[in-house]
Amino acid sequence: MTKPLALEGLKVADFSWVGAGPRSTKDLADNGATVVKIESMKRLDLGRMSPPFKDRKRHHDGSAFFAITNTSKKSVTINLGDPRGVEVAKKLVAWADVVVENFGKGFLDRVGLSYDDMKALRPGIILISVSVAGRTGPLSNFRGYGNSAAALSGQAALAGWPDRPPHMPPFAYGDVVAPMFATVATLSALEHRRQTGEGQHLDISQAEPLMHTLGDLFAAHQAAPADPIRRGNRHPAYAPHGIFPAAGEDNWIAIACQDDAQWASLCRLMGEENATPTLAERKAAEGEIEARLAAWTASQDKQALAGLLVKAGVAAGAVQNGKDVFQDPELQGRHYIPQTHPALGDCFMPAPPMTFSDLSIQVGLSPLLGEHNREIFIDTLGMSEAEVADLIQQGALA
Amino acid sequence: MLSHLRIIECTSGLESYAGRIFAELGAEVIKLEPKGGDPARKLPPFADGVTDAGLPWLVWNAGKRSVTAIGTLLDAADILLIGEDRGGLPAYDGLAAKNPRLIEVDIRPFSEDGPYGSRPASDLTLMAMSGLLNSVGDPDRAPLNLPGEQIHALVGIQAATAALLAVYARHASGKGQRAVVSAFQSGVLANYRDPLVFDWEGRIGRRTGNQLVRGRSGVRQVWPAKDGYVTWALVDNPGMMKGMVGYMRAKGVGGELLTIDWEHILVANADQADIERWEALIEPFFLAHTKEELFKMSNDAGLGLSRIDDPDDALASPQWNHRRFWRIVDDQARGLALSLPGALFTSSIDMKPRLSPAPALGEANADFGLA
Repeated sequence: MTKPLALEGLKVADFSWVGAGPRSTKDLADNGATVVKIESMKRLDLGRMSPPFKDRKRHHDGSAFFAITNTSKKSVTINLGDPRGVEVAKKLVAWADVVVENFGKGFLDRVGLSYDDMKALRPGIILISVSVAGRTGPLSNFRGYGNSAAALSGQAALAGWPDRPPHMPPFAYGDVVAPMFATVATLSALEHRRQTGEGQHLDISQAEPLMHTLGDLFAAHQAAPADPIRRGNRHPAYAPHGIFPAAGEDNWIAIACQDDAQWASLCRLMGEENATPTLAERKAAEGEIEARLAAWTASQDKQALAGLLVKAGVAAGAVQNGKDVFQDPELQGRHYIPQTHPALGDCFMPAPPMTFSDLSIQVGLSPLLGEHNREIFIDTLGMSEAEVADLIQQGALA
Repeated sequence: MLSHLRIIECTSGLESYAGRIFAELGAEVIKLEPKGGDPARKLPPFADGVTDAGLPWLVWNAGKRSVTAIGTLLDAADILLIGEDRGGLPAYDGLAAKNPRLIEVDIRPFSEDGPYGSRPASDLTLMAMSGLLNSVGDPDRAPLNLPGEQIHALVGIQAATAALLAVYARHASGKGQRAVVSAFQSGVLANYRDPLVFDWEGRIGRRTGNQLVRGRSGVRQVWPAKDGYVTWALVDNPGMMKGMVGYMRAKGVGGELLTIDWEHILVANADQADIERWEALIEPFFLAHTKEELFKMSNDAGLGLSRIDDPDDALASPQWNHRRFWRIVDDQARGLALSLPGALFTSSIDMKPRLSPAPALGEANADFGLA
C-alpha cells in the first residue's frame, strides 16, 4: 500500500519569490500540499533568472536555482498590477488555507490584499510574511539584499578570526534559516486553527531566526563581555577543534575532540605521547597542538584520514566542496532525487532531510512559468475558458 | 499555540533545540535526564557562581521541565524527541503498543540505513561534510566555520517540522508514527549553492574572503566605518550606485566615481583593478562616518547599506526590542538574569510568550509522581 503524504488536501497560495518564501513552500509541497505559485511575466521571480542555467542559457524555465527551490509546486501567472488580476488572486486566496508572501511592506495592502481583506475572503486564513527585519518596528521598511540579515543579527560580527574583521559568507544564509522557521510557523498555525478555528498573520524576519540559533553565543557574551566575540574555528568546550590541511590543493579535514578519550585516541594515531590529557591542558597549549596536528594531517588524503579517525572514535569529516557533496554516497537517492524535467532534462532535486514510517515524501517537478494556468483558473477556480482567454489576452493573467 | 501538546525530550547537547522550539510555541516540554544529569550540562562556558549547568545548556533548555525517571509519562505524550542515546527507553514499537498516538522523532547525525551509520560526528565535522564551510573564509587561511552550532540548529528545526507533519497526519489516521531526521542532510539542504554549481557548471567554489563574486570580478562586502563595520557592495543597481555617489559628491569627495555612467556600466564584468580603485575612493568616505550615520543615510535613500551589528548592538537594537524579541529570563535560583532569544516570529494572535529558566535536575519529578 502506498503511504500517504502528510499534507494531502492542504491548499497554499504562494505569492513569494527568490528564496526566503519559496524554500518554505517547497517543504509543504514535497509533503503533499497543493502549492500554487503566483508569478508574473511582468515581474519575473528573480529566482528564475538566477544561475546556473540549463546549457548556460538564461531562460525563465531553465534555472536550476529556481528548480531546486520550487519542487512539487504549480505555477500560474497573474499580473497584480492589473485590478482584474487582483480579482483572480482573490479567488485563490478564498480557495487557500495558507497564503505566503515576501513582498515589500505595504504592497499587498495597496492592491487590496491586506490580511483583513484576506480574512474577509477566507475566514481562518493563515498568512505567512517573510522579510529581512520583520513587518513592525523602526526597520520594518528596510529592504536589504543577500547578507543584510547576517549583518543585523550579529551573525556577521560573530563570524571570523579573532584578528580579522567580521566575515560575511558568500551565500545568503538568512534566506535559508528563515523559511525553515516559516514552515514551523505554518504547521503550528494549522494545528492552532484545528484546535480553535482561529487563523493568524505570522511575521517572520530573516534576522530573528539567525539570532535564535546563536542564543548560546549571546548568553556567553553577556556573561563575559570582554572576551573576543570571534573565535575562528575553536570551541570553548572542545580541543583540538578545527580545520586542518590535507593532501592536494585546497583540501581540508575537520577534527573535533569532544572528550579526553577522543584526544587519547588521536594521540595514539599520531604516534604521540598524550602530554595534555585534560581539556584545560589542551586549551593552554591549543596553538601548539593545532600546529602539530596540521603537520600530521597535511600529507594525508582527507577522506581516508576521516575514515581512519572515525574508526578510532574521533569525530572527523572531510571538508567537502560542491563536487564532494554532490557525489557523496549518503546523499545519492536520499537527498538528491533523480528527475526528468521538461526544461532541465535529467536532473537531481533535493529532498527534505527526514523519513517517516507511515508517510511518504514526493519531490515533484518544479513548474514551468504559467504551466498550470488552465488547471487552476478553469478546473480549480471554475472560471470559464472565454474569461481566462480574455484576461490572458489583456495582460491581467500574464 | 501548542499548549495542548506534551513533548518528552531525551536528547543531549544541541539535539535539544527542537524541544526549545516547542517550548517557545507553548507546548509542555519535559526533558528526561539520567540520574546524574544530561552530560551536556557540563559544557562550558559557565556563568559566575552557576555550577549545575553551563550557559549553552541553560539557553537550549529554557522553558522546559526536567525529570530523571519516565514513569508513565510516555503513555500520555504526543511527541518523543530522542537522540542517538535512547537513555534506556524501549524501541518505538514497544512505546507505541502502549500509546499508539505517540510520535517519535529520532535526531541522528546521518541516515539510519546509509554508509555512515553511527560514526562519531560533531557540529563542526557535519558542517565540513555538508559543504557549508568550504567556501567560507579567507583564501590564505583554512575554511571557516559559521558561528554557533548551526548543524544542530538546522536539524532541530527540521525535527520540529517532522514532528508537526506527523501531528498533522495524525488527525487523519488517528495514529502516531516514527520519523528519522538526519543532521547531515539538514546541513546539505541549507547548502543551496556549491553542489548545484558543480552539478550544472562543473565549477568548485573557492574562498574569496569578504568578497561577493559575480561575473568576472569580486566586490568588497565589509567596510570599516568610524566606529565599527558596515556592509555594502558595488553592484549593478544604478539607483543605489548613483545615490551613494551623490552623497559623496555633496561632501566634496568621490573623484573618478563622479564621472562613471552607472546606467550603462556592468560592474560585475568590470576589471578587478578598476573595482579596487573605486573601492579605495569609497573607503575613506565610510571611515569618516559612524555606522549609524551611514545606515540612516542609506535607509533614507534606499542604498542597500546595512550596519554590521555586534552582539551588544543586536541586544540593544530598537528593532528587536520593539518586536519584543529579547526576553529577560530572571533565573533567581541561579542568581542569573540573561536576555535570551524569545519568539521565533510574531503573530496577530497573542502567543502568550513565557520563558522559564532552564530546569534544575529532576525538578519536576515530584509534580509527575516520579521518584
